[in-house]
Amino acid sequence: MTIKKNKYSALMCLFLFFLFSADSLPAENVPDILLINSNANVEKYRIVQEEFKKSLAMPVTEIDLGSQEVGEKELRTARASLVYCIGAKAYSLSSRYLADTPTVFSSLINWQRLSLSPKAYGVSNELNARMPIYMFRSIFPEVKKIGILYSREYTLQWFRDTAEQAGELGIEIVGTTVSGPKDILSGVKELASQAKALWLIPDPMVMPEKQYLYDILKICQKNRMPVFTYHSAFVELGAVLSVAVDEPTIGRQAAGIAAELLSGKKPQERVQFPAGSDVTLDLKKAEEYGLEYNRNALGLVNNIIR
Amino acid sequence: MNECKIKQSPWRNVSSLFFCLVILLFPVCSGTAASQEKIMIYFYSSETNINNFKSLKMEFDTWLSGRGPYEFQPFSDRQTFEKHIRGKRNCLVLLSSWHYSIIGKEYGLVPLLTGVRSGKKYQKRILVAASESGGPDILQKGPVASAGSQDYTRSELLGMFGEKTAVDSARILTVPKDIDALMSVGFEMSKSALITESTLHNLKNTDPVLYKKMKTVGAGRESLLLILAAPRSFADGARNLVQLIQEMPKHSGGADIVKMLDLDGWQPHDPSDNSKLEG
Repeated sequence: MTIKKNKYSALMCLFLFFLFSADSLPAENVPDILLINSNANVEKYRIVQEEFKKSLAMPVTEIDLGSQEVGEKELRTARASLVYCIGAKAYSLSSRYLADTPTVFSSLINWQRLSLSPKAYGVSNELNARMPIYMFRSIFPEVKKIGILYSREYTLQWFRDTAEQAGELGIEIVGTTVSGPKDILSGVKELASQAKALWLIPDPMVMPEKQYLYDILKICQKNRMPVFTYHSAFVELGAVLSVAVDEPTIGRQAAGIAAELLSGKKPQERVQFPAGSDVTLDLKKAEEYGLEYNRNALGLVNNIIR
Repeated sequence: MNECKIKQSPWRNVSSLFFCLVILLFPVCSGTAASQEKIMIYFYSSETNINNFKSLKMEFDTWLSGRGPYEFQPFSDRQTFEKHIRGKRNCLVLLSSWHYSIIGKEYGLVPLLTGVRSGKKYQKRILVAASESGGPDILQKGPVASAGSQDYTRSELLGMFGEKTAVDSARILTVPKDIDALMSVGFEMSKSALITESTLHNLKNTDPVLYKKMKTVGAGRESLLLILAAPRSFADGARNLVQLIQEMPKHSGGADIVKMLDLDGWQPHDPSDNSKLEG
């Protein structure tokens, strides 16, 4: 009887062992994803984070550097099989302590200045120049000569590539280089006499301080030269059109790269361009400048201001 | 006393008369108030990830405000939209023909207007890629960019290739607009893009260099553009508002709104198209 009981207990133990080990198997297979946000209070970072989580549909350990101090110990404790970094602060921390872990990054301004670890992949913060050119051409087909202020230090190559791409869409780009603050306003005035519109780009030499933005917009207003730009906030200040990055799409792209890495595949590109655009158009301003807009292109516009 | 009575009686009569008038007129007045209740136009599109809701609402409401008690309410999420319109009587519903074919019967809707673009009320979705390799294999090579919802995109791909396993395992990258999907193929963020034929046609005119790189690797069936529908019991009551919407393209502000929906105008629903709206 005792033997029978023991046999029964042993069978039960064996059954329970298989039951729990079978249960624990999927848990072991679930990858540990560590998400580091440079500051979750920044709206665009928060949007990207939410969309990443929604798209990946896997458990994620989240760290917000805006509200907590995190060091090597905390990062290593997470034992992440993949890290997703939002913003420069997050990427800098992760690359210092978790360089061996596959990493996805996004929302880094000018990622080219960083030395990427071999396991880092990401989504850049700037659209491919062809996207805004396409929008300019579609919405304002009469504007065929656009001026750009750029610096040799930061955007010379970008300017050359962009001028070539614009040519393919029938737009001529005229440029003026800026090598210091003294060149900025004179450069705008020079372009005002040559181009039909000014395309304001994110070059730190062109807008070293906020005041320069206001002054550039003021000169353009005086010369009735429409300003096209890369951020919707500039439209509220006087620009006519902005073609910006769509933040939720960045989160979805980052989730796609993460899924690819977790499945053992190697993404084709180290850094992708953002795939979504967000277009804001101030029709009142366009009418003020007597700019003809293409009604058929209004479906491309996300925000219309009248 | 009599005098008094005589003096009081007219007041009594007046107050009685007033009371009777109130009682008699109450249903009429309340009926008028009810007719002044706002008629809502609910909008959700599964085919395009139209995310210009704020501008659309502002433009629609401004345009409609001087024309009657009407209000436009866009939705970004299918479930919320369906939950919201369920059981609603005095409203119009603006939705994709694909979505209509799924919920039209269940929600007791009748189609009233069909969207028109470039003189056509039909559109066709195509799958484009930078390489010529066709067939469902393209779905496994990398993300499929689409401005439509995940459900809609998979349904279209299934219609194109008929291979459920390949379609279910395809990775979909949702982008805001058709042009984003197309550009993402050009810049190699995705391997293929589900777009309308008209988007490819626009690319041909605006960016012929990129257009030359694009190859059509799959094509879906023709479907109707946006559908304006009403609950069956409200189809007659909605006549004035439906006429207003149909005439929008004749007014400059209205024409811009229609363009924001990526349409040129509307035409009355043709009953011969009913089979195209059946699920």
